[in-house]
Amino acid sequence: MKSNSLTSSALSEAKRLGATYADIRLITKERENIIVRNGSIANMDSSTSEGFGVRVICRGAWGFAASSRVEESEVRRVTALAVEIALASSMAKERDVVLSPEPPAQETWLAPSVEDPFQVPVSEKLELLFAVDEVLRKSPRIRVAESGMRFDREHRILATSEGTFADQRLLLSGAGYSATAVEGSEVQIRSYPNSFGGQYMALGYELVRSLHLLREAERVREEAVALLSAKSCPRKRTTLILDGSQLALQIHESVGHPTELDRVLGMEANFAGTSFATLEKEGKFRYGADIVNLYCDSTIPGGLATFGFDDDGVRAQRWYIVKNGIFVGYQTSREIAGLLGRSRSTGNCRAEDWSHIPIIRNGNLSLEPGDRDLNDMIAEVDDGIYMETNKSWSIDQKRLNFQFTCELGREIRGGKLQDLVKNPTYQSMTPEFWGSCDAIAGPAWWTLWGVVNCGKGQPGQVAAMSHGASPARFRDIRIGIPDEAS
Amino acid sequence: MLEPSLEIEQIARNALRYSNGADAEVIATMSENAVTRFAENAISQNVSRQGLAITIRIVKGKCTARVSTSSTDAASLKHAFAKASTLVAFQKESADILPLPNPRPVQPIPAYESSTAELRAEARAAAVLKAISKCKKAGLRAAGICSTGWGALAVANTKGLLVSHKDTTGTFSVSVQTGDSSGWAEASHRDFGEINVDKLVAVALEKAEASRNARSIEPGLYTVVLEPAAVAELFQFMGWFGFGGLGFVEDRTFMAGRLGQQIFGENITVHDDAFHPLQRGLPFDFEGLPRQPIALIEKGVAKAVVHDRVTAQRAHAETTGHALPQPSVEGPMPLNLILASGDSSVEEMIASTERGILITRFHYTNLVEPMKLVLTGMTRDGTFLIEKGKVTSPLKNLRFTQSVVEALNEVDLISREPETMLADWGPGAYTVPALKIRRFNFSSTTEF
Repeated sequence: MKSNSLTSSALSEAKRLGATYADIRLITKERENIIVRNGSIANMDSSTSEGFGVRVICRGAWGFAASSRVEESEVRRVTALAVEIALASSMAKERDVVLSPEPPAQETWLAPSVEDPFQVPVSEKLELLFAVDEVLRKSPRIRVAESGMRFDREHRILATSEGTFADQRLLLSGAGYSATAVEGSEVQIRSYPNSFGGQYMALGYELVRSLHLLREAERVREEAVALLSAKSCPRKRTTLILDGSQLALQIHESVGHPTELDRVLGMEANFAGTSFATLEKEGKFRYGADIVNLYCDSTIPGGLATFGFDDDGVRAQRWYIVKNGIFVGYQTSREIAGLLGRSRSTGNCRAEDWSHIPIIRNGNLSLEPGDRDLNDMIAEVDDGIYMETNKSWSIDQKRLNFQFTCELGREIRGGKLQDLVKNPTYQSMTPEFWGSCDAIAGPAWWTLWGVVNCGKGQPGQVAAMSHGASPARFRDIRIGIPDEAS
Repeated sequence: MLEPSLEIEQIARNALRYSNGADAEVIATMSENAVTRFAENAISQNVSRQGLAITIRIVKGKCTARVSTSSTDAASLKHAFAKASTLVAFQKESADILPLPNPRPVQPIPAYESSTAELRAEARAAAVLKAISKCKKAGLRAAGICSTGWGALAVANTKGLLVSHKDTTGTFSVSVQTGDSSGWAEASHRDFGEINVDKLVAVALEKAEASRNARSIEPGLYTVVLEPAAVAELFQFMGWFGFGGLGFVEDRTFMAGRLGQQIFGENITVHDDAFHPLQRGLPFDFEGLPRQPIALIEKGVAKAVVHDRVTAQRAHAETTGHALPQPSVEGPMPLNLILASGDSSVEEMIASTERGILITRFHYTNLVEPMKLVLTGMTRDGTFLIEKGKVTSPLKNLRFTQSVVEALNEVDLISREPETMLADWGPGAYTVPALKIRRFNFSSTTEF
């Protein structure tokens, strides 16, 4: 059986102290983060974090402890602490923790990539970022130009008392930029290829090269400036077409989170909330129109939640959450699947790093592409609006009422994209929204978008995942915010 | 083990030894945090983590680079400095990179309670069991957290600067659910023993029970009574997007170009003060410079924003000691906001309201527009209709979309007793009273 001395120490100590289950994750995470802002370096960071976390089940309850001191004596101390914590947990349990079955595996897994981003010279990265910065700042109305790159690589070892030993190497690359235009009391921003840092994928530096960052910089600058004098978003109900990047966040918030089964069962009630997608709805509830198919895929190349095994040691899978508009599946962990007597976890149990306990996180949840040409989808709209790139998002604690604002909108009149609209905002209720979907663009417009700032849990932890989407059209959606808001 | 301040200072001093003559700064942090989490009347997660992080930064001319490690051994520290030197070598000079600061005296803030630092899992479980038992007895479901921990931070540089701070934090947060409603209460204190768990559970239970069979109400403009947790949420965004020096010098906040002007009602006074007895915070910033109490708004008049040395230079001002780790994309940030109290109470606010809404807290608040600070979010865990001076019925939750700048021009009453809330994400604490606001916009509603 594969192991190393540290994992063996943890597992044998846990067993000696009476644990019926134990696992240890040894993780080394390296990050490089470079940001150029208004002609200056605003961030030039290289970080390495190393540590381990031990989970145990004793007397039917969980305990978890973690430390950054990676030494045998510390592993034994932390394991004993995890057992102490589990025994304390058993003071207030309703039932024993039961894990759904999963055959043990001993494998290595490596995120495929072409060009190691950590081997690309920093000088080359800076040259590109400064070149973008120079183009963005050619207008005096651009008060903030920010361009950046981030690269993560992680070596993650999981060893369990059931015999799993998963040795995985994960990778993340991301790049993007934004231009903020200011004039009087008006502030507008445009980003490329996406907001809040750009596009991220589990790929190497080939991702950065594929984004053609410099090519789009002039357009981004001009759009930011043009938005300063654009018309405001009207308040009405209308036909809405969303670009793929905004739809990715829509999927994340209104399908991903409500189908995390721990939320459904009340585990996040004190903080992130619960879910309207309750158990009796599975297999029956109409989540969206017939053409809406949403699937989760931990095997998809380049996905930020793509791996060989999750932190429960469950192998990566692909399954439907919504099929032909009907709600058919959840995202689970071994504990939560076991709680409901399900035969297997879907493998969604992940932790931010060594110091956090694994919990259910959104996987790579995507909208299947349709068969429509985006140009035809627009041409069929007599009066509507197109919105692109997220700027603001908010949703209620059961994941029903949501409101999103995008960076840029364009009126659609007579089947054509017309005037720019600033602060384009839409609001709806989740099933009503997905139920109003009447067209989805085809594979040519489909992109796997990365989300790197998903927060959940107490203590809070951040996870990354990807959501694939083509632009889609929705009928009779409320847009705009009331004048009384400001 | 050494006392935390001494240990973290030793770690920071030791790390600087490997600077090899470079101008260098070290930020060292050490912490141990434990969270006993419960849901559906049982402990659901129970965690403890201990960590150490050392960030070294070198400054060479007008170039800088940072390298972080979680190791204190000589090889790791040598590697970190070597890496930083390599990263600096490829840069062209940046105007915003300043030389390291000289030391200045810092007034300490006593914030460490060893009883909280040493609290064990069994004691946390006992507190949780108390809460769960009360809720079970009432036939309701409890969820929440009981957390305790300590942290130590030191900043040191090769100009002889060395400052450190240690603190403890205890938090108890509880949500209570019935079949169709919920209530919530939370408190934090450096001494966990000061937290009255029974009182928090009682408040959450009362709100949950009072929220059963909620009715709907049409969205629109309403008078609101915001409890301190809801006010704190608004102030969190004022801190992030309003009072920082970087947005100010870039003309993209409501404070830009408005110093000396009336921008809020005369009853609004806002300070940032880490030394306030109800506040929680560092006495120095992330360059090791003293964090100064500062008046941001006085009787509605914009007085100042917070600065670090970079934004101070641009604004022809002095640093106020609010730097985040340098260089910073966000710029300086106020971390200890205080809204001055008034002479009213939540009960008096309710009694004086003809028709309005009483709000416990907000959920998933986000920025829509920065210059008027238009925010959107949901109400949560206790939302009630007020009619003719009385709470008459619970309400299904509503979405607000409202300019905070406009709202703070419509404050009728401010309560006497403030509460301190910790930020949901990142450092920061908000000491705020309750507010009665004449007109507050709700743009839509939800089903529960």
